[in-house]
Amino acid sequence: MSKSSKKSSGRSLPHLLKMSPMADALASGPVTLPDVKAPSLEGLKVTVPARADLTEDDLLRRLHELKREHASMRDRAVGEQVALGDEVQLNTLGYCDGKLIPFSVRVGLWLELAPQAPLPGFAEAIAAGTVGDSLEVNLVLPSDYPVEWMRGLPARFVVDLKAAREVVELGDETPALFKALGRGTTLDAVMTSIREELEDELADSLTLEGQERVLDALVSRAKLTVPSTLVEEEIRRRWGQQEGKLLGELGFDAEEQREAMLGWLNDPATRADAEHRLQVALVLRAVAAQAHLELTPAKLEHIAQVAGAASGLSAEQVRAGLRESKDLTAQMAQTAWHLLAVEHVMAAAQVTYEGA
Amino acid sequence: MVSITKKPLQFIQTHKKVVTTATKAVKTGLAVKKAVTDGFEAAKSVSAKGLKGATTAAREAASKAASSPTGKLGMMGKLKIGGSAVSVVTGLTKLPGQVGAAGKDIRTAMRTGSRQDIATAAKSTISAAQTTVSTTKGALTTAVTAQKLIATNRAATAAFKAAVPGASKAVTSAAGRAAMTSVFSGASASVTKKATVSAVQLAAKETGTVAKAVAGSASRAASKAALREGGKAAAEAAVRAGAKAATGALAKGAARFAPGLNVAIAALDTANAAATLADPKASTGSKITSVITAVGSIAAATNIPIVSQIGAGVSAVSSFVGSFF
Repeated sequence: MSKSSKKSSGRSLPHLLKMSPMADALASGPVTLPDVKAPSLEGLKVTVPARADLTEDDLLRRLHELKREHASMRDRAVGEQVALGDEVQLNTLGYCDGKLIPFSVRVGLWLELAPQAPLPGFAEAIAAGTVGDSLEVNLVLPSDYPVEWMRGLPARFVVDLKAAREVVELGDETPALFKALGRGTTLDAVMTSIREELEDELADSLTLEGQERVLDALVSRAKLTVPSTLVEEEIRRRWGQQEGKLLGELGFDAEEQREAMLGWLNDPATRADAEHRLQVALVLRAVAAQAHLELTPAKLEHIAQVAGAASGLSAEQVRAGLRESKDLTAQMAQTAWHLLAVEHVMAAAQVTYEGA
Repeated sequence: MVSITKKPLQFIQTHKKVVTTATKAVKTGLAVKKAVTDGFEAAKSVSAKGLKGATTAAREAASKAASSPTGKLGMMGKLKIGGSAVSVVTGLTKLPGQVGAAGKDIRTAMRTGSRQDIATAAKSTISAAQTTVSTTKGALTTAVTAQKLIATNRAATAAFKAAVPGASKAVTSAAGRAAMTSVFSGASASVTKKATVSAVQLAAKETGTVAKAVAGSASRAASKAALREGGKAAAEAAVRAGAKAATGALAKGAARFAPGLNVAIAALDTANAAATLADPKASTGSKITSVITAVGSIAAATNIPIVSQIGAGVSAVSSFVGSFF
């Protein structure tokens, strides 16, 4: 495995902000990464705390999702009234305190038009609209809104109601519903099947949490400091890939784009997240180099098959997909390298699950 | 205070429009009633009364509250007493045409919230005063009716929380982890608990099926996870879990709208995979790529930073990739 080239050491925040955000984000060159010494994998032990039992609500919520999954859908016509319970497609953006709310820009977002716990009233307001409407929704955010600086403030959203589908669920406790669900012919059988499925998912979640704790422990052993310029460069590129692209499509000018990017760069949670991801990646990179790990085509194919099968793709589809485009295959290879390093670390770690 | 009106700017003063608006509010009411039967509340009631009972009960509740002449006052009182997290809709306006998010003038006007700016942006001559809540009888009635309907639905669906199952914890990190958890589960936990108590109790008395099923589930799941321990098995389980999450409830959770909170970096890879898989026009290559990217985000406990790819350098990757073609 070779190291990345080192042309620049990252750019200062003022410098980043002076440039045309989208143009710059799309022209990303190599950066200098700090040298990291691979930490020892010896005695790497973590404990995953016990989780609470599943609740009735968990099971019933899944039943609700399954019923919607097997419901029939009807596209609503332009000008037709939407209703709570529809699947709706929205373009949104929001302003608070005279500023664009970071992460409020969504384009082509499909969601169930149902009350949103963090934003009560929002879905209900949209339900007053018709397909094709552009709505201005004014809200006062709740006092326990998850973003502290926005709590209790008035916020204003533009919502384009692009499309909607009426959802007609199968009749309750009918043979048609049970047949569609394929989980037995009685409600008891269906609920048992859902419980087993959710337990499997809980086990998956515990496995992932174990991995996460192991990687956190590894990072703390490495005592690594990531330069803030690198954190900012990472955020800028993510912004360009995700939000910046959308803003370009919506015709945001350079000033508006800059404001949006600044929202990401100044968000503490985003900075913390980017720093953490960089720490994990840099440590894994060092571990992989020290252990002389090598990704083989067979290994990549195996990872792709496991992931593809769990996603409903056939083995043949996965094989074809791996050979469709060199760019896509290169992208998959990068992820596979990362997974290979995680697998290597996890083989050396000991994870204990409380309650097992 | 909750107020909600739907007022196309260009016709706001005409009596005809007020009547139309009122009619739409009634339609909204019907939609609300229907939504109650469609929503999670109906599913939740299954345990208490069976599937047949759920629909009837939800309809009755919605109908009763909507027809109550004191519904507005009652709703406000409950909100104050409950002290629950309530976002207040202070206005809903239909913007002319479909300018919306793509209109620079509209966006500029949204910053200030000036009705005049919005009217100007919409190339309308309406004055600022004309776009505020009208006190004419018709409009007032509309607003009150809409308030009641919103409140009814809010109460009836209080138990619907935008939950992401356990896997969400693994895809969030650092400070973002706590914030995301509060959005997708914690923020409405107390409300949810209250709203579901009666259903839980009834279920225990009448059938007990679901309650029995969930007892001991955490321990069984922990045992399953423990059995996977040992490098490869755990790694494959993680890849599988990541792929499942990309197509399941986690992806739906990522679609929840919590402006100001960056769920993007943590969850957009997942949401993107779900969207790509569902897109009939997406190629097989892009589908499997999006899934593997999402798996990387989840199974590697972090999405891979753009600036730091762990893999081989450009030439080595090129050579590696070449073996597939």
